[in-house]
Amino acid sequence: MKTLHISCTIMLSLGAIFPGTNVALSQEMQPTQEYIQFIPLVPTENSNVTAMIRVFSLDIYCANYTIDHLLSGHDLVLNVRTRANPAERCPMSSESDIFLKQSMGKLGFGTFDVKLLINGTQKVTTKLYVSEGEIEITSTGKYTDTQGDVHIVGDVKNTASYPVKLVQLDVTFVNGDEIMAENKLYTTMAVLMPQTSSGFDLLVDAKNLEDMKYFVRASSFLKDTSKIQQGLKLSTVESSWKSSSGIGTVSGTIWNTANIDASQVKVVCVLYDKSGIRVLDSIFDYTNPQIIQSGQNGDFTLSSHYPITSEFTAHCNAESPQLAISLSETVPEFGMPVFVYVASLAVIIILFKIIPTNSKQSLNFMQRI
Amino acid sequence: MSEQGAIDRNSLTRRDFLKLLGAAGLGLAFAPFVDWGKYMPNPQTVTLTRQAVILSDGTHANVNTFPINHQEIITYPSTGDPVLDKEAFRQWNLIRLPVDLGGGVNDVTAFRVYSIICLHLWCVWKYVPVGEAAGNDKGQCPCHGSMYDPLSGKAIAGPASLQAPPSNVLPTLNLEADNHGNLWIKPATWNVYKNGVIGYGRFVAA
Repeated sequence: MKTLHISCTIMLSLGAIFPGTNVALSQEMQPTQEYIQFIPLVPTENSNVTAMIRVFSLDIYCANYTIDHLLSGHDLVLNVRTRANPAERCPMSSESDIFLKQSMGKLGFGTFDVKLLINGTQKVTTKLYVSEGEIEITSTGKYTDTQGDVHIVGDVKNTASYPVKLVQLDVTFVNGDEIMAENKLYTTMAVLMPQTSSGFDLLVDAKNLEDMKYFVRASSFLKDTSKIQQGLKLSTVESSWKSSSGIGTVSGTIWNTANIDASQVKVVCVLYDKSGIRVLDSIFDYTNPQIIQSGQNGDFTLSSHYPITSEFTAHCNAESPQLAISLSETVPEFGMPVFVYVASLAVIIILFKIIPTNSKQSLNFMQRI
Repeated sequence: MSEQGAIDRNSLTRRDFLKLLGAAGLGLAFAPFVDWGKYMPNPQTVTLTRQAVILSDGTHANVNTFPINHQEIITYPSTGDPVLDKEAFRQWNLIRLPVDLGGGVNDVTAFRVYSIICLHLWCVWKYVPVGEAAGNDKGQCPCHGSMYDPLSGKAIAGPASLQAPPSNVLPTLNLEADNHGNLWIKPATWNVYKNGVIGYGRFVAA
């Protein structure tokens, strides 16, 4: 563990020394007993942090409960208290685990020691790393593709107020105290606009690493100064399954609302499990057609890398070398507001043509009406 | 008695210091003319031999048993050192094409081998057999989304496709099959007009 702590300290120190370098650590959660999962997994100082507390006790589900958190320096204590209510019958029988949410707002840079107390009894201790940089690691996950290869996947978000590019991630595999391997990769999106996300996908090419614990850190990025124009708009994104294979699909349409054409329009989607905590897959593809002319649209259908049996939700983003996704809502077609405006104008003009200009005649006209 | 006038005979004198400075300067002046490169490993001077295509389970890849529309990572040139053999620059994607691209026949024409190093930023790309729709199968690099044509190794979308030749076509290996159907890698020549340069690319005939 000492090696790991030293490594973590060095990583965190590097983040403090080199501006533009973001160091964040992400640990795979262990779904064993009660546990706490933070969303995002590795927040930045700009992230709103939510604690997802998984509890197994039937009492918590059946009875009323309260959650509060106490922050003292870098010690964070989450208190779950229940009030037994014998008169109330428990409606749940099959599932005994539920997720409790506690919003904690923004936290300062550093490592927090977290304790979970249920009715005063300490159940879980863990650590939360809040990054000083701008890239939050929202969540991670692991899957095995149809060819039997293991992948580490995840979702990262730009919490800065400016676009970033070349977001590099380091995935470190550890076995007990020992660091076994370190792999580097980039996010699938080339440019991350402010408050937008991208998936990443690392192929674990060594069989001995497949079952190891891993950490993910966003190690670097560059500020994008190309002043990329916004103009792509995602619409009608739908998730479904292919009945024959169980492969999950995400389909939809992208509109080009800018006044320039967009070539090689790429859609990147991160698939989450039904709890919204764990990443199931990170997928991407290009639209059909790949070049979307100004005012036109293109369709896309993305397939998961393996059969997904449970419910999933897709978080998607899109980009092209010329355009980024629009953050504000834009109506791609000749919209209803424009239609209403033109129609109103036409009615007013017609009325003015009909109504006589003389004030006396106008009065008579109005009285006739 | 005062010791102010005493000279420490072990200390470095100004004359010695200047001599050392001159010697170091002379060494540095000639340093650029030394052929330092010959002390570094040069893949072009390495004699490569015909090598068996060994799969991750240790078996010899065979045209009769390798699944259609499937990919596995193989090592070339193999050193026998498990650590060196894990280097991404020695790893290759062995692909058996889907039926619609000619993968149904039991000979070497059904196979392709490309370096796993993406030509954009040297991430690892992977063949993704979508399978259900002909023509959808392609190589995908999750770092910025480069995509490769499994038939030719040419980048067909994403940032690698925007790069000028030869940096838009993946390096390849040539295969042959023996009488039993076992696959062998022919000795490679690492230049852009033959097998290509790993991480850089390969020229293909127009």
